[in-house]
Amino acid sequence: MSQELISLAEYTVQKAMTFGVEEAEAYLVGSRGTETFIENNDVKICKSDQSSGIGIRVHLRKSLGFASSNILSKEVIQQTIRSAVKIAKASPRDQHLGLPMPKPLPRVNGIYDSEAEELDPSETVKEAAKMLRSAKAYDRRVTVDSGAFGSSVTEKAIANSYGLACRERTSIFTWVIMGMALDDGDVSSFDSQFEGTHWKRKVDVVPTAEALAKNVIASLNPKKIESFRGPVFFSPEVVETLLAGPLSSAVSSANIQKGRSPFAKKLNQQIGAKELNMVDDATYVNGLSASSFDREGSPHNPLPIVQNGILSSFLYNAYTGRIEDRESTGHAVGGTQAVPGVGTTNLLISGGKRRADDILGGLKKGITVTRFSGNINFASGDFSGVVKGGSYVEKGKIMHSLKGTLIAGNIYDLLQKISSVSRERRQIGSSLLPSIMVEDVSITSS
Amino acid sequence: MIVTVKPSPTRLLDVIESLSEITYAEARFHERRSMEVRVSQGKLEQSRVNLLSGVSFRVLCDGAWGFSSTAETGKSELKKAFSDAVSVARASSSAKAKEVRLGKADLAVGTFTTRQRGELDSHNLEEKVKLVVDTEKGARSYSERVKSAICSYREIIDEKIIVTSDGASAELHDFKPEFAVTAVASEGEKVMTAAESVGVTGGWIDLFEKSSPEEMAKRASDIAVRLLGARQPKGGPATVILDPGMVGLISHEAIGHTVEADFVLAGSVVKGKIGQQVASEMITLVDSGISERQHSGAGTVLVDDEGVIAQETVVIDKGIMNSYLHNRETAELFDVASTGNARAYVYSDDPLIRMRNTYIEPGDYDFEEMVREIPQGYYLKGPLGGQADANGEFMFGAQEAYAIEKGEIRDLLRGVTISGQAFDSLKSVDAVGKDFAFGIGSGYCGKWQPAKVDGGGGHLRCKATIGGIQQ
Repeated sequence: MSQELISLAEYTVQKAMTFGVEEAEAYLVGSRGTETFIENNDVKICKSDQSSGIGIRVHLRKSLGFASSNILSKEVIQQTIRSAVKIAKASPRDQHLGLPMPKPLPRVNGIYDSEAEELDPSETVKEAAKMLRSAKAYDRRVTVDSGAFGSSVTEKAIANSYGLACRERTSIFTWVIMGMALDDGDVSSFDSQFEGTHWKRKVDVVPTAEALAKNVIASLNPKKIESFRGPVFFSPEVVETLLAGPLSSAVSSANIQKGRSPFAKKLNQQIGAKELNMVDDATYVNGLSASSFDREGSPHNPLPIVQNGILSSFLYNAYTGRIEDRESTGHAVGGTQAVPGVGTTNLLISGGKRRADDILGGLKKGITVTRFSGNINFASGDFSGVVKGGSYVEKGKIMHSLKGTLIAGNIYDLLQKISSVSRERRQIGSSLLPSIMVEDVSITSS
Repeated sequence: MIVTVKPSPTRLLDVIESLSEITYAEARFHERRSMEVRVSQGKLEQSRVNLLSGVSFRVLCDGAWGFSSTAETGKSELKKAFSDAVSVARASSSAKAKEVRLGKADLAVGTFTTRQRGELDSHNLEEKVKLVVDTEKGARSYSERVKSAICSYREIIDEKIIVTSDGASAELHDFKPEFAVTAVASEGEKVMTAAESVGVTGGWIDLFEKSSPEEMAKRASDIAVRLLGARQPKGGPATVILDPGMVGLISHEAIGHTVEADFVLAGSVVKGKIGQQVASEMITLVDSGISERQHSGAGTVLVDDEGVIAQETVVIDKGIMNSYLHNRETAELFDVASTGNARAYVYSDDPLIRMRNTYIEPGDYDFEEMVREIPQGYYLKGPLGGQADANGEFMFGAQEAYAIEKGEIRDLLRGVTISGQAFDSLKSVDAVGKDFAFGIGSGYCGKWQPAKVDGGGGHLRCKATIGGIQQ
């Protein structure tokens, strides 16, 4: 199939060039997989899918056109090229448009497991059922609202009119479980846990189910606390939503160039505490975004973004790079249905020296947050929202879970107030993140 | 226009009737043509047309569901996908605890087309691109402090054929355009964004009925600039007035999800509450496939993806819990008829219980009257994202929040969220406005798959907690 995709990509580029465009690119994806869903404490449905897609980008007289289709017949591909050319004719010119030249790619081994290829749908039914059983077995008060176990093999191929041609195959197993605890009329907070791996031998749904069960049981019998300003210990899940998300957006060159990032003039400056170190690394094979090239075929290499709290680089694709007269950093992202954007791959925040338990043990008065639900304005950094999972901590001891507790402030201020980073890290999808303690956060009780 | 091969209802029926030992089967052909133009800083960020087309089969076999889809619509590919659906159904039946049965439903037969005032196709590509380019430029021209703007136009045009083994046979045509402008204002290191957006089911006239693109651009810029000078509020409980958009968001996120029957079965806060008082008597909350109040709700669905005619479902009737939202499977469990809430986003998705247009029926209050009676409170306008839990706890942001003092609207505040328990908030309602509008039509609801939904109502006054900074 891989060979077929790459030759279709090259065919598409060749065909597009006959329409008189200056540059053309074809991105093809084919995937097949099977997934079993859980709903309301029972297996819900098993699905088997095969899908494909092609995204065609053309630059005609410095104008951009893009069209996509999920049907890969040569006839439909030709019609799709025509649509892309038609859009380009209607679009304004942009002198910075340009596709990347071919470059040597790194070897990223171990992102494809042939066992995924032969996986029978009944295996996903078994894993989903096992995950459900494990959560219920942990505590009978746990109720599983939904969940899924899936396996898929994806092949992608890119070709452009500069002779760039590359392809890659990945396998991914993912499992997710969501639920709550019900205890005599008391409904706990909702929690969800997600895991994934490239390898079948690393599939283990039990710890994931137990993590969910543990969290929802712990959030029963919550109590309110008095409002105060103080330290907050964020779990890796919350570090992902509250810190890694906004940071990824702030270091995107597309956001910098459009005035949507507060980091525009902060390169080589201290943007956070010395404890903060962050790298984007698609060559980290455990991460679910591991791959050797980006959405437009530029090579993937580790890119340090924050070093000892100092902002060291922004992320570029070919287009945003050309605006600043520099190379792509290999951060073109997106699927077959849209013009590539800029984004992170596997985001890794370094671990610190102390264990999470020791950090927590030294906390005089503060809270832990394991789930946050709220609004974060990525441009300004302002955030405010509810602690959906968390506990009140006094003299190093967890006292009780929280209810009606809100936290608010500014993300970019929080980065400066980081006081500890845990040694342990957790992989959440494509990210590898520690727990982080931040001082002086506004904690409000409703 | 890309020409594809569309299977006939008869061909789909032939496939699903080829096996006799199946309890139930449905076939759905779904072709989606969509386009998007997005401009930022005078430059095109996105300019695309997409075709997504295929057939899916869902079968009920040995008491369990199986699902399979294919982009290829030839006879042998359809047969292969159908037999895959049957074999995965058999695989899942081995682990299934409860056998699935289907409840009664008003099955659709015929052709169903949503109303389109001002055909989207009568405005060509060049015109759509120019409108987006001009509006984005316009948004930046209102103030020097607006350094950046984004404008986008999207449209989704759907064609479906749904046939079921028990008699549904429907052909559907649907049109959903969206338009949005975001302005980013900055001063020193301070950056503030504000957005105005609209999404409808219908045509060009429906899309711009409330505001023209220029008005939307001007308003987004104006708000972004004013937010630069706004302070954050002090947190705490407060009396608030919610605009129709905020009312829609709460109706959808905080109430609507808890009454989705799959969620009720999993133990949501309204389980067993049918016939009980759950809100103020002023509250009548409806989830409707098509609303008589306003036809262009972005969540408009004429027939759901199980081939069931979408009903107008009164969820809360004058404060009393009246109905949950059902597909055919949960309808059987609750011994009611399906409300037509089974929806799938694209051909390769299986139908799930999803909302449509969710709103609170208008009351008899004037907005001015509502404000006048508040000694101290807040007026919240323009919903930003939010989230709600199974226990009805919610948290939402507002783009604009104004302090109300002594019955008058005062300063604009920034970074404001409200939170509370949705049913407690609805019990605390003491005024519902006369006016009516949908206000969340440009958004998508996420539950495994996206779905176009809408929500609204009149202005509403209630109690909730304002999130802010603890000084």
